[in-house]
Amino acid sequence: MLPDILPKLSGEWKDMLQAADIQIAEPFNILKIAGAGGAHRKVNFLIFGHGATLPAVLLKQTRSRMNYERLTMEYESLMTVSSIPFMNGKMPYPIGLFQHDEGYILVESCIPGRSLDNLLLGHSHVKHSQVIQDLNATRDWLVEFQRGTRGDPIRFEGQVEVQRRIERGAFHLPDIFVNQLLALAKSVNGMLIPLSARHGDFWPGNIIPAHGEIHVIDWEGFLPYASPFKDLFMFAITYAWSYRWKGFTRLTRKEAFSRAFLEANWFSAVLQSFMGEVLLAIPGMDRKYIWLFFTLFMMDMACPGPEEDGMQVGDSENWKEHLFLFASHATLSLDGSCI
Amino acid sequence: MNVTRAEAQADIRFYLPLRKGQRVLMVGAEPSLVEAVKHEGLEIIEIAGSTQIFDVEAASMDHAIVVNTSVCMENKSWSELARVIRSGGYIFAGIHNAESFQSLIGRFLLRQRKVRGTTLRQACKNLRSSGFELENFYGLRSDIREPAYIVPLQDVGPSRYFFENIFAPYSLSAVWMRRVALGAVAMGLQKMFFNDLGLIARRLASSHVA
Repeated sequence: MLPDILPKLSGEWKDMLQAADIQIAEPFNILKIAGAGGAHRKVNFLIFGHGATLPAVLLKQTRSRMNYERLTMEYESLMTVSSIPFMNGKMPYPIGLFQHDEGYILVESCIPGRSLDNLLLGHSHVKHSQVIQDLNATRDWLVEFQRGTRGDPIRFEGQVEVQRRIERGAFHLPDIFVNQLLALAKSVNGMLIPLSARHGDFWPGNIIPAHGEIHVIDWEGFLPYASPFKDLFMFAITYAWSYRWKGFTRLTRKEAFSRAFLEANWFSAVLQSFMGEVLLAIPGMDRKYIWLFFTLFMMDMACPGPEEDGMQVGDSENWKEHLFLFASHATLSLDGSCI
Repeated sequence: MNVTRAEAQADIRFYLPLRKGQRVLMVGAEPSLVEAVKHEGLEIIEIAGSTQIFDVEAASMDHAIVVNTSVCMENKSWSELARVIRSGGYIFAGIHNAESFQSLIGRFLLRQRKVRGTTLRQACKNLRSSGFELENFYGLRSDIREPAYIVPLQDVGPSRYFFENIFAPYSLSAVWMRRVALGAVAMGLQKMFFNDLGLIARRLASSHVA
């Protein structure tokens, strides 16, 4: 338990902390922040040194084998990603993964600050100029992250992939929409899509804006090679959810989704521009494919396949609702426009 | 995945130096906390309220976790808890904060006669006079039944960090509350923003009790 673990910060783990340039003075203060759910849940603790106003390290503790595997994966992900020069200082630095009694502890440096989700909830960063600044910073990060981890491409099987997803999810979408989607997929059949690393939980709650840049935390869902669209569309949709304000009225997720992707307004315009710019940075991509891959992403979330394993997909019913809403109201055309 | 009320309470156990084979007295705990402590290999004596503490043998418990806040309003309960915990053992005691903004509003604006809970000062006094030494105290948010956040209150830094960066304002009134809280924290009034507090204290050897 923590009273037995904390002395290690100034004892056997001290050298590792110093190597990561972390100074922490006793006595320590422990702030428990909400962990994941489940019987053997992983719990996160921020550790403050004496008199400190910012946490020095983050301890992630779990008592189960299953979560141990996740912690191991997260530790290895942090090791891999932090070795990319661009990522230096923009993500937590892994200190170590330790066993204590029958539990496991991941120690990592703490990226202090208020998440983008928290800022938006608190009615901050909601102005047009601030939204653009945050989206630009996120775009730059995502483009660099994908560029730095790009691997071999896979061939996109066009209509087959669309059909496969519709069958897997048993989605009963409007025929007109399905036909438009299939036509769009046919036009890009055989296209090569370069794989790149995936964060896996790329939503505003894991993004900390600071000085025109962003820092990204919580790397549990990381994969070294995955579709480049997952993080992009996960962010775009969850950003729309987080940005729930309409004046001083809070919208539901459904209303927020409609405003962002089914209505014409400044918010939907900047979000679409953001998605287009990230997409353009992927070799061989064009803006006109946004809505095809956007729809496939929602299908994957509504009925997760093997690649979504490890992603924080949330409630699939919620995603299904969004998919049907989009399919019922959007009109896709071959030039990539969406009305 | 959402954290349920019961799961969040189970995390209280991390704040005590519990070790396999020890005996823990649990007062008013949620089943998840009881299960979690059992899962750690400890023996549990579970009771619902203060009257049953009288039946527990003296110095037979290594630690105690008191989640039922009404227990810690009674002076006699503290001395009973001190009686059953061996010297060097720890107690986690939850109290309903009589000095929280919510309590103060009830007392002064709504003219509620009955004051729920106890003050931190009174609880500390009771702890000391019963033979405990306070090690730290925490704000439990949203409350002791569902402590999704456990915020140390002795230093200003963690509370300020909590309200500045972690506290999620899910409504417009919460947006304002966050601003007021940050102002109050700067004046050292952080405990007023927590309806329930958790005290961690160590049982002193009888010779050290004043």
